[in-house]
Amino acid sequence: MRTYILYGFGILLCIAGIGYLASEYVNYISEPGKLVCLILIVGMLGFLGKYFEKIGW
Amino acid sequence: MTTKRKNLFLYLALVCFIGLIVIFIIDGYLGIYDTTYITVGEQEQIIEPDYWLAGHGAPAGFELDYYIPAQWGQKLFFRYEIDNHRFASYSTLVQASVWQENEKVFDLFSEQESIGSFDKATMEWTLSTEDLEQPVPGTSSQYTIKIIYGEVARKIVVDFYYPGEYPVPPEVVPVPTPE
Repeated sequence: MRTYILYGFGILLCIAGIGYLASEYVNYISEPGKLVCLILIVGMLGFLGKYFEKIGW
Repeated sequence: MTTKRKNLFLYLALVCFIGLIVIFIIDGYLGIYDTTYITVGEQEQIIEPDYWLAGHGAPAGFELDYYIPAQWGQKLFFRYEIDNHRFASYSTLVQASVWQENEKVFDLFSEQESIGSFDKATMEWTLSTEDLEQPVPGTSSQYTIKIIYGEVARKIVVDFYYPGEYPVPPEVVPVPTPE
């Protein structure tokens, strides 16, 4: 259980890190671009969740 | 079969991640961007490309402008940069002009610019109040600086306030002392 909490914490830190770097260095994304990014992030997290579910997490 | 399906989710997640990076590069970096630097007095204001892209509260369909207050008599120094974040060179006519009440007052700057791939061009011009009509003391007058390149038009509204001139104190004449 403790391992999963640590994994979850690590994933959250990774997402926060990517978000921070993107906000610092990617300034000029258009409105449609932001929407597609949001969809892709949701898709990525969803597929990663399914992957972890399939490998037995 | 299960392993293949299991990996399929991982590949799809990877595709989404690559898609994100591609959008960051293509939509967030590639393109033509302009930055305006305006110096009034000792203060420099920077209008980043993000200001025009973000909209900053302007209702849909309305043109966004940038507002600068200045005192009558102050000069405004403009530095305008166009960054070409593209793989091809970019050639355009850059024009800056002063407008008031939808009528052009005069041209400030006009030059054909050719910018190489991943390069930038810098232009400079100055707006002086000597070329403008002085407002009534205690009031202000607004002028719009229109900067146009390609299909892009930027509007910067300058508000010149004229406080009036202080009255000159009367010359003191020494009273001759009686003998």
